[in-house]
Amino acid sequence: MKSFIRIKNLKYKDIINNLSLSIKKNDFITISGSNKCGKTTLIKILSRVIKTNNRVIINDKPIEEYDIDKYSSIVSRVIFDEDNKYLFDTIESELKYDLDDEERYKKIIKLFKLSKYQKNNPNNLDINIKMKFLLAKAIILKPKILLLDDVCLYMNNNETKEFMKILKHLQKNENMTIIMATDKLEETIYSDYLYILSEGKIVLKGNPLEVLKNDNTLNKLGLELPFMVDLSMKLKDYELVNNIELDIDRMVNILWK
Amino acid sequence: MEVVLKDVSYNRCYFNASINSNEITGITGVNKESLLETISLTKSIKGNISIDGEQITNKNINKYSKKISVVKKNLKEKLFLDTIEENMLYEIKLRRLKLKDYNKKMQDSLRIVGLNKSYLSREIKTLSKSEMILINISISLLSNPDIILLDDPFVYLDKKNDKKLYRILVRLKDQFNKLIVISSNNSNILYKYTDKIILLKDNEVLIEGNTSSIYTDVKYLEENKFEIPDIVLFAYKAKKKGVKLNYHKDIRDIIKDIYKHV
Repeated sequence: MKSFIRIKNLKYKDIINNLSLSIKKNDFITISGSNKCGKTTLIKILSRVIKTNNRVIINDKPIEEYDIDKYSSIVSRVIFDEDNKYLFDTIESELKYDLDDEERYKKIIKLFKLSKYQKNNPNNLDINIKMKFLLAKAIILKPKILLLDDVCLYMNNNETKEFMKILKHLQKNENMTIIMATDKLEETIYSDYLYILSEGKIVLKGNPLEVLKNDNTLNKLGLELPFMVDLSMKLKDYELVNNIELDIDRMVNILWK
Repeated sequence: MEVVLKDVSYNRCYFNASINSNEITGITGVNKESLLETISLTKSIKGNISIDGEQITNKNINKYSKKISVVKKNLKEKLFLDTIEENMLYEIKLRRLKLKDYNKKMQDSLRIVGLNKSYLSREIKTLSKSEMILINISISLLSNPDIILLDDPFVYLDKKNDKKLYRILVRLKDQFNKLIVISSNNSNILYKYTDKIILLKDNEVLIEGNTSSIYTDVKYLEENKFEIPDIVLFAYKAKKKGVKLNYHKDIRDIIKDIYKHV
């Protein structure tokens, strides 16, 4: 299939070094790597916070050639920003700004399980709720591409899972192309494709579970394998299991029948 | 050093807890920020807080609050000027710190977190998140605090850096006798890196005690809807099958244990 987003030989200062990748429409990809690998810079370039010259192509057109309003209706970015202050004093009025579609609003509130919080002040939310609100705000006008940077930072495992479910839903039912940067490898298993960056270059890529099998390389980069992946790989060394097993119960059953 | 909270109420929460400088204490659960704020002595509270047996009153609160530093979630709050040196000098001014030798103090504070003096001239915008958290800790050290409260310090760090931060916290506790409190949502981090844990639920302290014993009480954690560290849950499920695994903090130890029992 034709690529939707194409990055070719992208360079930026000494942070991004000759990076090329292509993303198909409706893909959900994650970009991971240790601190300072260039993932946040890449997200900033894709959202045009940082300028480059004609190295990023969306739909056969360099992103710089898009009118900026048009571009922000196509590409939406979610980052955690504590300093951000909101104009309106409820989640509802903040989400309905620019939106003339009550049905859409109701649908999103339901999908994000935010109905309890509609009248809450967006400037004063529990972090987990705030991230959901930020995501809702980013997608309510139906962008084509969703960029996320470190969005699950303050979430525990269950909260992360719930958030990933919403992302999967947006990919499937709203045909969004999703690009997520994170340094927590356990978040990457929800995506279709994983890129590992180091010093602004792609060092590993592929299906997340296949990429995570490179435990030595990932360890050298300072990345922590999800516990079950780490356990599987180490047990594989002892020839106790053959494959990566993510489910604890199944793993216990494989080891002790 | 010991901080004791007795029937303290703040922000619709109610706290009873004691925190000691000979163990790294972790706080988890809803309202963990409120407990940190309570200990920071910057908010008006009801109830009794005492430090080393002396009760905090309106008269002595300034003396004690000077001895407490908070490392906040928002890493840029204390890094709004261009370079690290400028931000450190601002902090020295803001807190009216009386220092004989500014430069030496700034360099020492950097050295304790493992950074050399060349960092003083570094521009903030060139720092990574993991460097920012270390710089925030070194800024917190300028006032020579007895108590350091860190709000979710591990979230920005990858594996290499979270071990490094842990070693710094241990050094602050052991060599410099600082009382260290960290908040986190991550049971894996808390299980690995804290000695004592305080679980908060329904606006109060559910339980406080030894991290290893609380985090291996799986039934109790499940009943109270707290997340269980992965490594503990695995051992627990194996135990349920009749396998005599022990609880370990390091994955290499549990692998050895598994190997013995298959």
